[in-house]
Amino acid sequence: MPLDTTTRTIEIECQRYDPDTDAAPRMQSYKVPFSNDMSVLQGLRHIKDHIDGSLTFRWSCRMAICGSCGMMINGIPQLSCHTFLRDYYPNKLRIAPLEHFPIVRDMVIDQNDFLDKLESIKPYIIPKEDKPVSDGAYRQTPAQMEQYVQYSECINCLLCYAACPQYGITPQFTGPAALALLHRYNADSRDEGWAARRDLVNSENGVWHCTLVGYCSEVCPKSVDPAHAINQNKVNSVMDYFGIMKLLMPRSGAK
Amino acid sequence: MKRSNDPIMWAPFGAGGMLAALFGPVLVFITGIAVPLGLLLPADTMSYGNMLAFTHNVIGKLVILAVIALFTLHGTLRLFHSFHDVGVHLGEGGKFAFFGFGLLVTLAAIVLLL
Amino acid sequence: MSRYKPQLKTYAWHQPADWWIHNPFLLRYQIREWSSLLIVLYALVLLWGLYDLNQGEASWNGWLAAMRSPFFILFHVVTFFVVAYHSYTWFKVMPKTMAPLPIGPKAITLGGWAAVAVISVLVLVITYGLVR
Repeated sequence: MPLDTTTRTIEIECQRYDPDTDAAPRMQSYKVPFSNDMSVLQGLRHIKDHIDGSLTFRWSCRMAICGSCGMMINGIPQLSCHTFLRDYYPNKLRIAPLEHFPIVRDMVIDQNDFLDKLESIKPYIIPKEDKPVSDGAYRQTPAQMEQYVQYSECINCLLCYAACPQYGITPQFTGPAALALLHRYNADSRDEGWAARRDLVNSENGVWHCTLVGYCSEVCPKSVDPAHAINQNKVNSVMDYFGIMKLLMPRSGAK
Repeated sequence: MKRSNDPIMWAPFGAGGMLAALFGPVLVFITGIAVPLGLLLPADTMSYGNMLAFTHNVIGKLVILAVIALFTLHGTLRLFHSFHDVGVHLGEGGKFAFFGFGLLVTLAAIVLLL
Repeated sequence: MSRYKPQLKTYAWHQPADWWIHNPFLLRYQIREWSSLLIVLYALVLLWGLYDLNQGEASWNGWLAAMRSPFFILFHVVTFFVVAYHSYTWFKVMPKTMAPLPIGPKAITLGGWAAVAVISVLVLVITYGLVR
C-alpha cells in the first residue's frame, strides 16, 4: 500500500490551566494539519512546536510503553500516542488532563497521590525467608507465572484512575492500578506477603471501596484487568474476616 | 487503617444477587405479570387456597423467606453504595440503617411465616 | 507517610454529580446498580402480600386485585426488564469476582445466562404442574 501523505486539518480543543494566571481551566482551540499516520500526541507536539509553545503535556516513548501521555480524549482516558487523529476527523477533538487528579498545568496532573499508594502496597516480592544467593534462583512453573503475569504489565499510566468514579468521589481509595499490583505480588508463588498487605486489602480504602464499575479494565492500554484483581480479593478479604484465610494459607503466617 | 465491615454484608448481598439473577425475572413474571393478567398459567395459580398450602409447606416457607430476605439484603447494600455514587454520603450510620432495614424485613417475613 | 508532599499550586478535582451521564459504559453501570431499588421494592410487595395472606381470604384477594391495577402491572413490567438486566450483568461481571477458572471467563458468563433460561422454564413448568 502506498504511503498516504495527504494532509488534512483537524481542530484540537485543549483544556488550558496556568496556575499563575488562571483561576480555573479554560479551553483553547488549534487548527492542526495532520497526515494519516499521526497520533494525537503528534498533533499536540505540532501545536507546541509550531503554534503555541506554552502548551504543556507529558510524553516520552511514543509507543505505549512509558505511560506518560495519558489524557482525556473526547472524555475517554487514553494514551495520546496510542490514539490517532484520523479516527476523529472531520469532527474536532477535545483534550483534557486525566480526570480525578489535581491539575498542575494544562495536561499535566499531580501523580503524587498515586506514588504514595503504589508505595503502600509494598510492590516487591516478600519471601517467607530470605535465602542466600548460593541457594540459586526461585523456581517457578509457567502455570504459577500465569497467575500474576498480566498484572505485572501495568505501566502506571493512571488511565484506570481517571476511569474510576469511586476514586473521583473518594481520593483516599487505593484505586485500580495499585490494588492490581498488590494482587500481582500476592499471586506470585515466590511471595508470602499476604500478612504484610492484608490490612490494606481489608481496609475501607482497600478492595471494599470498589463497586465493580469495571471501567478500569476497559480503558487499560496493556490489558491488565484491575477489576478482576480487586474483586477476587473481596473473596479473600471475606475469608480473612471470618478467619478462613489462616486455614487456607498456613505458610503465609497470617498473624 | 480502619478495617471495613463490608464482609458481613457482602455474603447476603452476593447470595441475594445470585438468587435475583437466577430466579428474579421468572418470579416477577409470574407474580406481577402472568397471574394478574391471566397469561400462560391457570387462573387460580395464586388463589387463597393454593397460597395457603404453599406457605404451610416447609419448602414453600423457605422459598418465600429466601426471596424476600435475600432480595432485600442484596438491594440495600447496593442502594447504599448507589447513594454514595450520586453524592449522598450517608456514612457508617447510613450503612447500618440500610443493613438494619434488610434485617427488619427478614424478621418480618420470619414472623409472618411462623 | 508521604515523602511526596507536593508544594505545587494545583487545580483540585471535584466529582460532578452527573459523572455517569456522558459515558454509555458508566450509564449502564448506574442502571445495573439502581436495579437494586426495584428488587427491594419487589421484595416489599411480596412481604405485603404475605401480610395480607395472613389476614385471611378477603385481604389476600384485595392484594391480588391490587396487582391487577394498571399501576402494579406497569411496576412489574418495568421491574421485569430491570431484573432481567440485573441477571444479564450479574453473570457478565461474575468472572471478575472469582479466581480464574480453567473453563475461562466466557464459559462462566454463558453458563450463567443458560442457567437463567433453564430455571425460568423449569419454574414456570413446576408452577403449572403444582396448581393444575
